[in-house]
Amino acid sequence: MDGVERMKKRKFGPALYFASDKNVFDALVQKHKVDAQTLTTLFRNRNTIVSKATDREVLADYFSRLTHDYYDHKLISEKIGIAPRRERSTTVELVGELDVNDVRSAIEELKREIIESGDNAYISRDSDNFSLTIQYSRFDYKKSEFAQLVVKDAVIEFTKTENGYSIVSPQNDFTNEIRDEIVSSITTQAPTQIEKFIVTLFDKPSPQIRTKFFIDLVDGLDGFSKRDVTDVYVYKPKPSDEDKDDLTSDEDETHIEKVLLRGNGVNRSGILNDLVSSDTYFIVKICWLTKRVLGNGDIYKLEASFADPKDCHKFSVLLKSVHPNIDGKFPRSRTPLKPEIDELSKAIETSAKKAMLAIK
Amino acid sequence: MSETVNIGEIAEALVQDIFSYFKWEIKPRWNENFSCHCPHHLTPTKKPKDKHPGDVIFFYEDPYLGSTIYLHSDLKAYKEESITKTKVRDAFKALAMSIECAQDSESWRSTFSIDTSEEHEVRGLLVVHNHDHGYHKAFGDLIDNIGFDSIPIPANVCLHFFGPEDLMRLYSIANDIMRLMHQRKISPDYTFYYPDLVMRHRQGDVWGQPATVEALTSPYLILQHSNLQAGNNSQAGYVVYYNRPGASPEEFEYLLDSLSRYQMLESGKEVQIRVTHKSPHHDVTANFNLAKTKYAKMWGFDPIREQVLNDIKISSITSMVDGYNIAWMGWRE
Repeated sequence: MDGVERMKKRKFGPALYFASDKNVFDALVQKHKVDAQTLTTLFRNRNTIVSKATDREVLADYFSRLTHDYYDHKLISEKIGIAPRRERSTTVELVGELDVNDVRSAIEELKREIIESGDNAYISRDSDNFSLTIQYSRFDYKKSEFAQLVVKDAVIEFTKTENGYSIVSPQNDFTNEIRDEIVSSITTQAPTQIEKFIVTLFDKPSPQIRTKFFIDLVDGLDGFSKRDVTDVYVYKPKPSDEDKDDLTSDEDETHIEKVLLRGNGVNRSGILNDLVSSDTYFIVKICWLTKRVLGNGDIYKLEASFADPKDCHKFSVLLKSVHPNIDGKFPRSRTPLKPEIDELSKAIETSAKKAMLAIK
Repeated sequence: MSETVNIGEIAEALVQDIFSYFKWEIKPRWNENFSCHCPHHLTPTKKPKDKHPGDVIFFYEDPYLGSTIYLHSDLKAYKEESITKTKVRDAFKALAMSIECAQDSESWRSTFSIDTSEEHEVRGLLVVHNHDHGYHKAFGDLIDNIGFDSIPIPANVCLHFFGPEDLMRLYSIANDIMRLMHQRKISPDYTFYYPDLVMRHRQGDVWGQPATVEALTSPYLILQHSNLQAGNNSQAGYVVYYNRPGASPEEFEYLLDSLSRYQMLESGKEVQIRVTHKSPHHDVTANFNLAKTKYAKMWGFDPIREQVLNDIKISSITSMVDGYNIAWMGWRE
């Protein structure tokens, strides 16, 4: 409801929805986003048949000077607005005595609330496991006119474990809020105390310990061996205002908050070593390649990060790509399959948990 | 041949009953052929074509382009059962060839006495009339199934079409304009309204602008008139002919936002929405009213602007369903 709140605050601002002819033109010239079929449909809806051989710019210019409506806008937004990028996932573990029906009714209740608020949601069940799929749309004012309306799917998965439930969901504020509501309703309904576990270094402020967490996580992936570390983001929080009073020298007025190191063997580089050994910078996000030790020997590109770098909170993981092993060579990468995403995400979470619990 | 006379009669009837209200003009020669100059244009028996037909040429000046648009038109009348995909497909195919030729044809220009000193553009227009009014399927569905990919439409050739429903809707709008004029709700010097855009500004006189073929097939068409009720210092009034079902408040919020951008929602200006869609949603009025409330709230309107918004009335035009029969006797299949 973030968008609605913001709408209320804006008085006499520029029109919220309306796309000008220039917005329309800018959207339609993007051949890689708006396919020829979509353009044909837009013209067809105006009783007009145009040639596919006509230059894209000419057609975009033509359409942009015609009046358009909500449905045209929707059609164009769908092409421009959706980023097909997969989202990072995050896990919450619930440990304790949990009744399947209580879990189900908590999800059911939230589903009803979501539908009442105007979004769409449905539940799928597989024995004791559930998934809640939410189709929602939100405005994002930072984006261009057509990308403002973002329609997304969020799937929250509830999987029964030996000692409770594991909940995996996309890492974003919208889904986190829904997940937290379900979790709090599950835990309050439960007859006994339920322990909630998440990966966080919120209460571990030491930069060296935070960096070690990532190094251990990457090295400790069970069944996989690290090949290379390609991206490391190091972070140093800005001093808060209270701390600033003590700072008098000019040197302290520059502050580099975040550094991205990208390349090969980043973890062994002197630059990284200098940064993290200074005990001020710490790793908040890491991308690496890992190889399956047994089985197919495929290579996976993985990412682990904290969405809130300052507090090392809101941990999330992502399987970015798979490089299938073809006779010991890895000629090309592909997008991961669902079972691979599930397996690798779980492996990273497990390794992260181990690394976190190892911190004394 | 009697057919020649009849094509002329039909064309004149169309102009008189419909297109004159949209400020279209017609070239005084109809049912003429012009020479083909494209060697790749073949007859169905694969022989080189020597002529292309032209039933009638409509024309008007495009307010954004400032150039004259000639609509080289093919008039077809079919009985209900003969409106088939194949027939319409063949008609488009022939029309596409005619337009490709006409664009650079001396013969076309001289046949239809085109003023070459002014910028102009030639486009195709296929008019399909159903003279027994039994065709109740959506002509649009038939168009969707034609498979234009297999019709060779050359680059920069543009074809428009009016199906039976479109003709009926345009006839209904023409009648509505006549009625509003008679009731002195709009002035006889009405014009169609084209706001200045970001990338293109309107050209020429504000008054006397035609409804372009695109405006007639757009989600809405805006007519501007001088306000007869409010005395001398009154501002303009607008009639928005709305050709969408009105199925949701969002649809209307978008419309209101568009009108606001076009500077039409201002104190002293009168705006009314006239729904022309053939089957409007049963909650169309409720959706419109909800959209007004939501829109005013969203922008935190002051009472004056809210009043402007509240004064916008929505109504449906009287639909002339099946009532229109042009002199169809001579229409060719």
